[in-house]
Amino acid sequence: MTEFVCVDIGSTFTKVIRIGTDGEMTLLRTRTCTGDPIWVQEVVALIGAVPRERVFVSSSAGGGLRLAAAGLTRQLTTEAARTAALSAGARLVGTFAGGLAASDVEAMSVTRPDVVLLAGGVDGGDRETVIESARTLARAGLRLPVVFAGNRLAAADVDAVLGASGCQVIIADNVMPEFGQLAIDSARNAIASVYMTQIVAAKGIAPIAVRSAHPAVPTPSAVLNATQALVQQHSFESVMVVDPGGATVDVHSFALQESRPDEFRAGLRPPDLTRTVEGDLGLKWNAAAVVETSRSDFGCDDAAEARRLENDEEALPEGPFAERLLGQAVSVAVRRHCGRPLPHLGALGVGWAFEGKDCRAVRHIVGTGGPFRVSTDPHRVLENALTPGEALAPRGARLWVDREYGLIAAGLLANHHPEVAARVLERALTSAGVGII
Amino acid sequence: MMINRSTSNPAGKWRVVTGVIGSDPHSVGNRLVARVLEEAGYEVFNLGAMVPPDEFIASAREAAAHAILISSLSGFGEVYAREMRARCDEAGLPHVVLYMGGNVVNGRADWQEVEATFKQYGFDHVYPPQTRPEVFLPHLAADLKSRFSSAKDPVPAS
Repeated sequence: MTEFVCVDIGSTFTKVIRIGTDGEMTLLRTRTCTGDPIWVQEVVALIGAVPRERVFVSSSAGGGLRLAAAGLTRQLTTEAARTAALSAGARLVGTFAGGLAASDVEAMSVTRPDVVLLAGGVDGGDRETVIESARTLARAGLRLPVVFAGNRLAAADVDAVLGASGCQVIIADNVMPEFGQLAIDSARNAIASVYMTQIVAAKGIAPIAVRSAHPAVPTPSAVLNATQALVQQHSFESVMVVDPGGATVDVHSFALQESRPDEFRAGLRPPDLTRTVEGDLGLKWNAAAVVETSRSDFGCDDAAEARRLENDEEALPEGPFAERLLGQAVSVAVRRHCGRPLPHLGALGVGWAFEGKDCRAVRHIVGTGGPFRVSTDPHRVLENALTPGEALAPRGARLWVDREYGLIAAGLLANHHPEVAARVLERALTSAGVGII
Repeated sequence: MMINRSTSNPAGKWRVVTGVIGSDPHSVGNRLVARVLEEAGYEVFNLGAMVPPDEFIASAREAAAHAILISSLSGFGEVYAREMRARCDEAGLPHVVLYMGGNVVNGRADWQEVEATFKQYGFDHVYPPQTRPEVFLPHLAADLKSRFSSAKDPVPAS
């Protein structure tokens, strides 16, 4: 008997996942056609008679939640703003350090962000840069919703400047109130509320969203939630989730970021739960870029095949080439997600400083999404996430595959029905063996 | 040189970034400096020990700081110090007051020579170990006054 229904509206397919009392899942799929009443009827029929309280909706249709983030310095408030935006499930269509220039705002008429996240300055620190960015935005008259998460002493001025120009302004807590402190929750919630109130309607998913009593969320935010649930509601102590798609590759991780007294850390210490998106890597629309990341593993024929995939709308990645492409995309995306060593000079000669997320303690790696549904050898693909040497990447881990979008369902359910989410996770993951370097 | 800094200063305090540069965990001197500055009425952004050189600059920008006070004990501070002023210039902080103190060099005995070298690097003042607050506080007050205009001078007259 169907207890809950989770609907994920993707850009290609709408997935309707029915969940029974024991966490058993039934997956139904249909082509997404936002704006088409027949598609709405079809999805509503698939949802069935389940009450609104037991229906949950996520979406990545219409390009997902498109966000432009601006901060003051690259390594501090811009990085903090990026981290907040990615954890809200946003797709970054612009990242700006040093505030916003008129040309940056002009470019937004092409990149079309749904929302702008404005940060900069620690509390009590620099105010001018964010206020000037607000003026630049106001002058351009774009009327985009703006989430302000910078120096709190600049909030009133930013609100006044943007409010006068007709922008909706949401004031959140500073993403970096003091040095070394990342405080992204308030900004993340503000972005989520903009998504719900403004963007859901614009993306044509409102007729489905009203079938749920809960706010619709961006799909990556559901997967990030599931990543946390794998630790809190499941048996994993630390986990990495790799979610490759046609145009991007998402990597999520939950790993405790403990400071070690013998290690010199540079930059902001990332939160335990993080998400990164590689916008230049993908298995269809960015296949050539994946091939270009390794000259030794791919030859001329592969480059031609990748170009064919990109140019032929109907062509789908398949066969051994698709497996190699997937493996390489996983390898590059995971290395970028994880921190890296930086050489530095100290009293004992050249030593190493570490920057970014420390995933060395990750013991479980999960592959999820379309490409893993069809992968013939997920073990081999996921082994690419393991990296020897100094990089802060996982060394050895148990490998798992989620073939039925169970992570999206668990992520949607986790906050309201943790015990159901736990049962879904139990059933969703199939072992792909143990990966060791 | 008198600068009308565009960044307003709502608290009316001078803002100072402090920290120990590079792979150097010796934090005591820096903590004392931060405390002395706070007691003297400065708004102090203390970055603590093991601070990469670029983080001093980025932090000074985020804090809209008027001065950066760098502490070093390992003796390797000089390696980073050479480019500090140039990096401040590049980052849009050409007027920031720049001090360094501690074991700022390895094995050079003549302090006058050391001081001349650091001034050449673009530091406004450099101090050997055991320097008393009575020595550097008046220097800082004077340097800030000559470099920036401010509505309110938080440093007590002594």
